Amino acid sequence: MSQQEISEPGNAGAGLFEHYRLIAARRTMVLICLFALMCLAFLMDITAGPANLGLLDVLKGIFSPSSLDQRNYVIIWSVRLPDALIALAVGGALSLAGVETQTTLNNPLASPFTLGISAAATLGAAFFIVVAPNVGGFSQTLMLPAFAFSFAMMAAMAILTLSTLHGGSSTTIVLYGIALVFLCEALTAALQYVASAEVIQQIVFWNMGNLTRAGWTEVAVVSAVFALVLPLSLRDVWILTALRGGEDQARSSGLSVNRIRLVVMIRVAILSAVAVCFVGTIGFIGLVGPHIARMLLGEDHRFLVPGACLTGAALLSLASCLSKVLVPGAIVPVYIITAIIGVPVFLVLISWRRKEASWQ
Amino acid sequence: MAVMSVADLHVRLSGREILKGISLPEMRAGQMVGLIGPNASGKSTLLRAIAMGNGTQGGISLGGKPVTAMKRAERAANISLMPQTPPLGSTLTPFELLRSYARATNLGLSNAQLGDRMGELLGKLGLLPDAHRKLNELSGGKRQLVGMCLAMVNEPKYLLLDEPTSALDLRWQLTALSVARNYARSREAICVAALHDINLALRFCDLLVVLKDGCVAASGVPEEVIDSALLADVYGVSARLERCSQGAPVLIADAANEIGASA
Ligand SMILES: Nc1ncnc2c1ncn2[C@@H]1O[C@H](COP(=O)(O)OP(=O)(O)O)[C@@H](O)[C@H]1O
Ligand SMILES: [Mg+2]
Repeated sequence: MSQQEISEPGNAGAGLFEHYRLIAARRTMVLICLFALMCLAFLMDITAGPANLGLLDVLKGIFSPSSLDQRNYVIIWSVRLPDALIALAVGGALSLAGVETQTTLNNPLASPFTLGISAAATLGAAFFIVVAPNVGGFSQTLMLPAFAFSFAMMAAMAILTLSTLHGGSSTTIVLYGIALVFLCEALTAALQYVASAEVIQQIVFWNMGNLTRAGWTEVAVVSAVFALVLPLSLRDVWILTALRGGEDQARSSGLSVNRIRLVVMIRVAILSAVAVCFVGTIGFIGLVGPHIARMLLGEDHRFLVPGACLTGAALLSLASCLSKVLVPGAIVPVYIITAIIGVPVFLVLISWRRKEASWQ
Repeated sequence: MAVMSVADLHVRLSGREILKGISLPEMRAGQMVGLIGPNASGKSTLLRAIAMGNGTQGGISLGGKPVTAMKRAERAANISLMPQTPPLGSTLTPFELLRSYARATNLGLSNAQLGDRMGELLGKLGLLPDAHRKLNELSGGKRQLVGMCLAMVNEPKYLLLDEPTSALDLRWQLTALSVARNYARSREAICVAALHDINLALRFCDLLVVLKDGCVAASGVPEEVIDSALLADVYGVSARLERCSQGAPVLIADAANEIGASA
């Protein structure tokens, strides 16, 4: 091609990127704001709680633990910090899993929960709680999450196997997931049916997501998994964005739709199984976190993926904070709060940015 | 060197034989090939078989190599198909979508090179003013043009277009096809386009293939292929090929035939 032919469109290309840089700068600003919001939520979260410790006390306690007396040391280092950190990690993990599921299954309603992963974790926990006396030797704090995790992974593997065997389209995967949700819920109900009232209460309580049972091990595991998976997701941002042009279109250009769907399902299974096995069901975040990020940042996954992690973490952190201050002297399960604060936020955003919220 | 040959190609989908032994004249670099035929005659199936090997047992080779022997990455680097349906109307912009396609196919271009390529492509197809608008706000025709950009951005040796002009107005029908033809000529590529408009096919194609019920009804140089008997046989219409005042052949379709007219 001749030099002259290139030069003119070359200018057009420069103009294209020039304009895009403005858009990208705006989105970077949004990401920075989301990050600031998340930090703010975190600070509020570590400040909130029944013991009367202000923000400054807590910060001082974090930076010089030796200055603390025994009681405050326990409050800050064994309760406030792990609870607040697990909120960030779980919120980020679920929202990341959600955004990847929604994109690869091309379904705005998809989340780790529509895939049955959370219902399977509950079934695993219920199974352990009901037959626990028969599994001797290990501590409950280890075995309960282990059961929840392995059931969640089994559910994910079942869906993966079914969808690869039958060459599943994205809709069939969602259908398998919903069928699995019903199956797991029925089995959990069956377990509850034969269990005593006390055991039922234990199951129900586990099922209601609760951040307060997390300790440093849980924080470390969830954060480590999140930190391992996020770079892999970030490596796939281009193809994830390309998928939003339609599956048929992507296949036609030779993009490996099957591979990306498989690896995303594996990532989602691990992320959400690890997240829910320690804290129970925290629905909503995996569904709404990505939508909020999408409305604020658009669908370019280079911004959307980090954005979804931030919105998820901020939302759950905020919910965790509210769960401690809403009813004086009591901690409302965060499961209840996420929906109660999440739904209004979500509705306001939808009416505010109706066009960005639409999905075709 | 782009050479495509299709010999005795059978395609079965869901247990049904859709293409029943298709053989095409050899297609060479720089050629624009038109694929015409009534609805459900197998045009899209043929293009998908070439691009993705869907349901094929051999029969297609590109540059002397059977497509079934090519790895996905090798196929992706050489062949692009613009599917019949335009890209989804998401909130992405043509710029974002096109860029993600270019990056996802690992073109290894610098931002500046990619910017040039995208600017050139979007410019030729009249999309520069819309480059940063949301796809769900663009008209169907514009979205179809975006689909064509997506297929062309990795500069494939084999460019397959499935009804690229179905949603376009007159001006862009002509533009889209001349962009495709110039692309084939200047890059020594082969472009195969499924078309419904026989006049466009007559004007732009070097070679025409007429499909009917999964078989080749005729193939060859456009003016030799298209005549009243063929149109009556394949489409069930009475039509004639006239010369316009400039001497170019023009098809005039008069009526749908009643007898033997199939759905
Ligand atoms: N996946 C499929 N399974 C079964 N039959 C199919 C499939 N795809 C297309 N067909 C059938 O193949 C025939 C040719 O379809 P197609 O190639 O789309 O025609 P055209 O593009 O020429 O209109 C049609 O009868 C259609 O019903
Ligand atoms: Mg078709």
